[in-house]
Amino acid sequence: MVVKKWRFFPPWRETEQEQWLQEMSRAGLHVLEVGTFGHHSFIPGPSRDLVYRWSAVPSREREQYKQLYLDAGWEIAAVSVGFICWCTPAAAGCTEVFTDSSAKRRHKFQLMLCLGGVATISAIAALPGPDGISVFGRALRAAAAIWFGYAAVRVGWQALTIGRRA
Amino acid sequence: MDYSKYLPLSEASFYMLAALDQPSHGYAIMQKVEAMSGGSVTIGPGTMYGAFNTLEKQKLITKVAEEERRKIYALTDLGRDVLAEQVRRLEIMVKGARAALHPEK
Repeated sequence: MVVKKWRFFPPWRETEQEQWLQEMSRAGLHVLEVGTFGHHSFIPGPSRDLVYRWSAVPSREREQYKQLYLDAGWEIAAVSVGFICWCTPAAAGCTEVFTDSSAKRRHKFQLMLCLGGVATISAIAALPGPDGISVFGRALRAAAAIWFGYAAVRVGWQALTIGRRA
Repeated sequence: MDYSKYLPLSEASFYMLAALDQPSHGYAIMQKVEAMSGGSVTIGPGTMYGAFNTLEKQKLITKVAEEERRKIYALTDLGRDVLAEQVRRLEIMVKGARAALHPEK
């Protein structure tokens, strides 16, 4: 039996989503699927205190990337457009996948690039052209471009403000 | 040789290079780093994966084998030299800091 919940977390609130998923696990709901706009599917089970962390899937050597995480005690909880949500018991030795500032920045920049890419595609798709798209359709695409562009800027700002060494 | 473009090494990179006294795969390096640092330093898989790519591009490490989806890396001669230079610099820094903290000793 799959339990569906809707809770929207904008991309710059990734940490809040990870904490919410942990609360759900403690309540006996373990994430199965994460949709783009807040749709979450859970599978009921025993209460577990699991830590969740998002990580971008690399474009190359994906199997080696996954094996490294699996060896380190992480499991794949959910997959969402180029990103994997990993989980590990909260009592595990290391409950962070990015343990230094440069890796955290790199993760944020990867997310920013993903959002920026969607914004660009949406903006191009909103341009007038002989494709028969209605004004309303173009307006929706333009709104998507603005929203994803704003999200990219917010996430990029987070990346820039992650602690830098003196 | 001028190693300044590689230095200073980040904490993760320093420990990873130091842990490669023998060719190892990622998780073995993670365990070794934790042991070397007495548990005070842990490297997450996301940090490890990114550092591998950087160190390999810089030719400080090289892939020597692959076993069951695990890449095995070894230190290159350049990597060894860079690590030695970092250690030399750290020794100077520690010596200077100790003198500053305990000027009478």
